[in-house]
Amino acid sequence: MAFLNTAYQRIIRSVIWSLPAQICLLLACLLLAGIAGGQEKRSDVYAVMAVYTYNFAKFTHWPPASIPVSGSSLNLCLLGEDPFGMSLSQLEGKTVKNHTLHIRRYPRVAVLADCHIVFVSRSEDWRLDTILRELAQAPILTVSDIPDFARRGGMIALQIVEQRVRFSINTAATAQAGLQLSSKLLELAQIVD
Amino acid sequence: MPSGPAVPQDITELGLEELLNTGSHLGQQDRAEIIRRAAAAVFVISQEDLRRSGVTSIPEALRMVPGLHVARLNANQWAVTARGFNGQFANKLLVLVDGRTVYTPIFSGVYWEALDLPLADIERIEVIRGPGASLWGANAVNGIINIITKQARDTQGAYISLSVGDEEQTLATLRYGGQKNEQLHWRVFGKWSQRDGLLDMQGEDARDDWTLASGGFRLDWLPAPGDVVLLQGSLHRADLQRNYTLPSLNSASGNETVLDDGTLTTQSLSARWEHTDSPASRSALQFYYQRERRSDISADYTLETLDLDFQQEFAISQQQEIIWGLGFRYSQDDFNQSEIINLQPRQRDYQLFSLFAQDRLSLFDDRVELTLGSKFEHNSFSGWEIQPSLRALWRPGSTQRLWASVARAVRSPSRAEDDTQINSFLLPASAAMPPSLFTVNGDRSFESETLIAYEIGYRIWPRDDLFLDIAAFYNDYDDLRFASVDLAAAQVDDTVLTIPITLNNAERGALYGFEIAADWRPYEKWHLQLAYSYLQADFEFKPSFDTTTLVPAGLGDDRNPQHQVSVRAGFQLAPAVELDVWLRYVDSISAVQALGAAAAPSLSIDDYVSLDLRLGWQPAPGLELSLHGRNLSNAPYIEFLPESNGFPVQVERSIYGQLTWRF
Repeated sequence: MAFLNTAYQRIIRSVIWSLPAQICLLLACLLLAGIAGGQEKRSDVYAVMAVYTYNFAKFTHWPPASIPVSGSSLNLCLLGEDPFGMSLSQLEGKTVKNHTLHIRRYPRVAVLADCHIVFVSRSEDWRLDTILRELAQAPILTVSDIPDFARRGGMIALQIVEQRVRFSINTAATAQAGLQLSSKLLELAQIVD
Repeated sequence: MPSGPAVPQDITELGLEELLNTGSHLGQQDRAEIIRRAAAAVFVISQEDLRRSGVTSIPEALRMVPGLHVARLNANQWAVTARGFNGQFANKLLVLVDGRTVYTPIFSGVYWEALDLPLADIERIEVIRGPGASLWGANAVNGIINIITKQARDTQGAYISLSVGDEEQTLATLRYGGQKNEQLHWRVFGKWSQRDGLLDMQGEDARDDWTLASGGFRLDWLPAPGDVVLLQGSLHRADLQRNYTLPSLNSASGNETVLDDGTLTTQSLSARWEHTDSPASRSALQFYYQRERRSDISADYTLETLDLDFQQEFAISQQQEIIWGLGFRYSQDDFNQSEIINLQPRQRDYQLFSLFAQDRLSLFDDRVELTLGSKFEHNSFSGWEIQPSLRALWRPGSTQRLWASVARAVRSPSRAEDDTQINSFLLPASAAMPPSLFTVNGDRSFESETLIAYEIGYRIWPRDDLFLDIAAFYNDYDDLRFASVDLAAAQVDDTVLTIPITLNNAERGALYGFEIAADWRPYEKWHLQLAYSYLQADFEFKPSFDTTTLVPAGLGDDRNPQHQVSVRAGFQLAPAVELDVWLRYVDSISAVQALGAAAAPSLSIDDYVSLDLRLGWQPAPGLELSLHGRNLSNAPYIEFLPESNGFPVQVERSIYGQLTWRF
């Protein structure tokens, strides 16, 4: 500190760093940042992905046996670490064709039999094959942003292309599971065979 | 801790075509969900928090956590605790690095100065206040700190960081990450740092300079689908200059100050294998070996530890998950004679066997979650310990949580408490007495300190830019460590009267308080984070003890600051320019007294306000330049006093500049 320790600097410092001055400084910073601030126009990737998943639910027909009663809940299960922040919670209670969307989170392990949609988090990449093997042919829509998800046997893969979230669909996997995706969904998707 | 930016309209009503045209960016990956779902007081320090706080060491980062008290004892020693009992030998906080304990059983504490992993390699630091013993075992009494490092695939390429400053004289980190194929990623790092000493009470250089050198690797391998193997190794060396107060017949005060050159080296090697054959189950096997070698005027020993753990998690149904595990740890130490601390026997080995099980149950359509578990363990110092816990979490709505818990935890005796003899301080000869040397003696009848903790907490995030977390606790302790002067065992030897001080479990009492953490993003470009802690203590001697023999050191009531505040404000001044302001207030500590207090001048510690500033600039992707000022407000000041053979030191203002480059 020797190079800062002249008496002059000491005085300046003691003025600048007195408590009231600090508070003023903090307020000035807030004001400055408020001027510099403003609303961000782009959305968080995972907020967009959550809404995509909600839309996928709207455009998917499950076999009647898997959602028997109108009014029963449609379970959206998240397997693995939650990347969504609050955006998935905002879908809780939304209505999809007379069904109430219910979010279930399974950060570590899960029995997925009751789920209608499973979003597989990137944290599960290492065991994706095991998960997809377990879900194969079950009427459960699988969605993920794990790279190559659709090619590895998942149903709907989300990926970022030029700052936009795009999706691709593995139609063989959805057909095997007995899920019908609406033509609108298929039109907008990239199809993976 | 909200992650996303404020979105002008209800994004959930967007259709597919609109979504396809919605510009999006990868926001800050926060770990808020870890906090939201826990039925415990949890705080997460993210990589972004580490970067923007400008800290250069892990204990400094912990100052932002509510409920923690971090105090610098000298340039290269920290006292860190959760919810009270801070001190040079603070012993109720368990610290793990990627599942490996760095809590030393020698003194029941953590060598924070040797925790020298590159901060840029840390994914997050999870801090749990309150007991976690039902999962983590003994010594997770007042808190647990889990340091989790990044996966090797997230640290690919080169990383260089160089800092230059007046106190942080030179800090250099080099890292390189590569991959053999998609299944095998690795990284290696080297780190070197040289730091200046702080100031003594006269404002002169305390000469407690220090130098750290470390290196290590991490390898993440996916040998087959459903298997993951992690290998890690590290070497650390710390060269530490410290001032010690030693009993001396040649000094008028009875004690003299000696500047010592000490070293602390640690090595570790760990392997972890995780396996799954269904989404409903996963298991992990972990092994590690570590060695610590400390050599200074105070203690001179080597400790080696082998640890083997197995853990399995499985879901029985949508509503029920079970975790159970087994552990075995073997440690062996070897002491040499030192001027302050000696142990008998010189060598000892000790084992720890543990078993735990935990059941988590979702009830009432996932609105309530109950977690019941217990650890059962056997250690060589205190035998069997049972540490159960019961936790409940209630979700009244999608933006609120209420939780409560009751748990038992123990702090098992350390090797030093069993077997030590510390030359603590000397009272010079007086008219009535010859020179008297007080020695602190361990005692194998010293028992575990126990805690039953009652906690309650509430969290609310009414909007995605606001998060509020409140936790309150009442900790009921028994069998706390205290000390008695054993005059009957005093011996005269070469005209010096040696008076032993023996450890006992004479104290009991309660600590209670609450903590608030608030996180607010009024705009995308501002981030305000507040932490407030309130702590109150109430201790007494157990009636069964003969209080006339207890050392006149006072109870532990006043060792804690009653109020602590941390306010962090981060601003994006321009697309590539960041300003961070961090203000901290720590209340006064009225009496840091301990065994040597009778001989040392009594000092109380004033409250202080501390201000850190950081200005960061990213001129190009991967390149960052930053200027940091630390303790800018009213330094120099003291933060804490060492309890044994210590030397009070004042914290200084400092500035440093940092360059980091990723390519």
